[in-house]
Amino acid sequence: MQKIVDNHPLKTFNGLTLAIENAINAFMTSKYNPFYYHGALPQYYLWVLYLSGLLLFAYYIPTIDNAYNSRNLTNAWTSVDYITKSLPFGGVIRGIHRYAGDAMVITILLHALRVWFTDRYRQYRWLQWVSGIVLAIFVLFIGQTGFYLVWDDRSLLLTRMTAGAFEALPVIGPGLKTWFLNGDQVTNLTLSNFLFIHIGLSFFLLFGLWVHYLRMTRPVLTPPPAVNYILTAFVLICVFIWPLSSGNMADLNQQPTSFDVDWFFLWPYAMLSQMPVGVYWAVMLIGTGLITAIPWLMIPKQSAIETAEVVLNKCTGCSLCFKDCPYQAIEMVPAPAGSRFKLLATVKDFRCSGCGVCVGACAFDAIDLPDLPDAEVTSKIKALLEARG
Amino acid sequence: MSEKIVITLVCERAADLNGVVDDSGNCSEVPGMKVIKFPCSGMIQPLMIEAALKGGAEGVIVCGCQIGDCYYREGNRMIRERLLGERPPTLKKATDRRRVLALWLAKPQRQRFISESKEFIASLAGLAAPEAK
Amino acid sequence: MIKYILSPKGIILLAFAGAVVAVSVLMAWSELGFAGTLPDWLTDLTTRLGLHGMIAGFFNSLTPGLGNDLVEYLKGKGVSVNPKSTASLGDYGYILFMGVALTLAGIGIMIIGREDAEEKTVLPVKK
Repeated sequence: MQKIVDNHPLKTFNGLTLAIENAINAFMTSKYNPFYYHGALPQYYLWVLYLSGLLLFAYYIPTIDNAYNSRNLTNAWTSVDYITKSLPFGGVIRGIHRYAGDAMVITILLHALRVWFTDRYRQYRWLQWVSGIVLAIFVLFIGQTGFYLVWDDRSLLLTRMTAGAFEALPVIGPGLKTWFLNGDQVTNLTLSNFLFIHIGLSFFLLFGLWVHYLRMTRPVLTPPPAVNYILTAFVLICVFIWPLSSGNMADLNQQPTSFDVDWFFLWPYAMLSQMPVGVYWAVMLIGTGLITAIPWLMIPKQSAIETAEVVLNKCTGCSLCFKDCPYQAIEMVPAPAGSRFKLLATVKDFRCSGCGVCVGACAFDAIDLPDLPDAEVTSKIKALLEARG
Repeated sequence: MSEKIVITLVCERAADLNGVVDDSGNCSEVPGMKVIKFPCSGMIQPLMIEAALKGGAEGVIVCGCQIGDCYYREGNRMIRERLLGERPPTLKKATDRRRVLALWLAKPQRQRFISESKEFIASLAGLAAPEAK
Repeated sequence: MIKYILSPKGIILLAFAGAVVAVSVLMAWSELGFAGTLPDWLTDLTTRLGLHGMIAGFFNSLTPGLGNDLVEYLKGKGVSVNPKSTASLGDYGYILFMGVALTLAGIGIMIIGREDAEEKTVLPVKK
């Protein structure tokens, strides 16, 4: 009757995670342990990015020449230069936007590793895992477009590398390249496309997050304020310690050869520079496929979940289990004709985790886990008490 | 005079009792304690606690994971709120709340569990005998 | 509603709302370069209190050399600002101190807010 919980292949890492968290609990207590809000951490940085990005957007000019000819702000690079050097707190806001992005990647990685190590990614949670992978890819791509927008020589090199990598893809390649550059070559339209991708996709993240939270009742969206303070302070202190500066303005007639790698966002480019483009795409696509398939590949023969079952003649339709189910696996449907009650609880098996919270919520013994009915628990309690000498 | 028994209802992912509890639920470290494991502390019904006390148990210990770290997301919060009377179903009014202790301990915290439960059992000795029915 | 506003919680909320409005007005005022001669009324006030020169003198005595290390560090990192603009290297210092203040605030709140009873729930006895 007891389930074995220690058979996960990553149980060593699970033990390690629990030990680290236990150590943090010792002086922070569970109320402020950042590991207990691991999903909410990147969500917080997303708000920071939206806000700081809005301020940058107000001054950014997405062109590569003086097409807009507004005062001395002639192109993207000079507008970024203006933001950094002439706007009060402009350089600081730019730094916040950059380091909040890096911090978001770190916290996403932490979030993914924790759910993986603690075995919280498979079966009824597959949708969260897969949508999380999609979200992470989009975050990476949005971050990379942010590096193009600065329009220094690194941006030009990254743009050319990306266009070349897209072009190498069969069938869709030329189309992708044209979409990416907004034409056949780098023009003013290219940067406005980059700005559109950067901002448009970051709002797409909200849609992705909706899917990510879809099957969770009461998702944890915000860490406690004290943790938020520390998260913000981390970014602010980074802004001071590693203040940002742009490279030289991009020159279309030259081909830059090297660049500083931001290891949170630009590692794919470091890979791309080390291998043929065909190998790069193969590694990326197969790698992504494998990571996405972890919920199914990790444990080949997963035992089916013993889903909760409603005892039809006992359910009063009180909705308590429906309210308490953490996975929205219970639906209240109209009771069959002739019933004394209006509603009846039904279990959606594909969402049920078999945790038994609904059993705890039921005051009428009307919902049960097949492998541990509450009547069995009660009789065991009685048996233990009667057996005493 | 019959042996005094404390019933412990514990989540199998909380404080790791595998080494000290045998198949019949006896704990080698804490005499007089009987352990029943659950997939999640959220499954524990207030009815079960009442049944144990009614059946003559000296006290009941509920143990779930650290608040904030339920494997099934919210189970330990649910049972805590039920015990505190903030979420239905709750304990009956007549239930002797001095005889119920809830602990929220992570897997590595076995020693904390043992010391807390010993302390709890010692405190029960000072209470008037439960009315066995 | 009125009952809530008059409760202690409501009064605290109102006070905070008032503070937020006041600070918002002050922000606009600071954007205007504090037109309205703050130094004058500050001097006036300190004179009336018999503290003339003491406060200003104390702060002025700190000024020489203060922040030189930070400025040197930023210059070493290649940070520069347009001298014709209102941007300054002090922006970075401001953000550093804000980060430190937030860290301290976070730790302070954690110390005040932590409850040792979080691992243990003793049920309140009902009467």
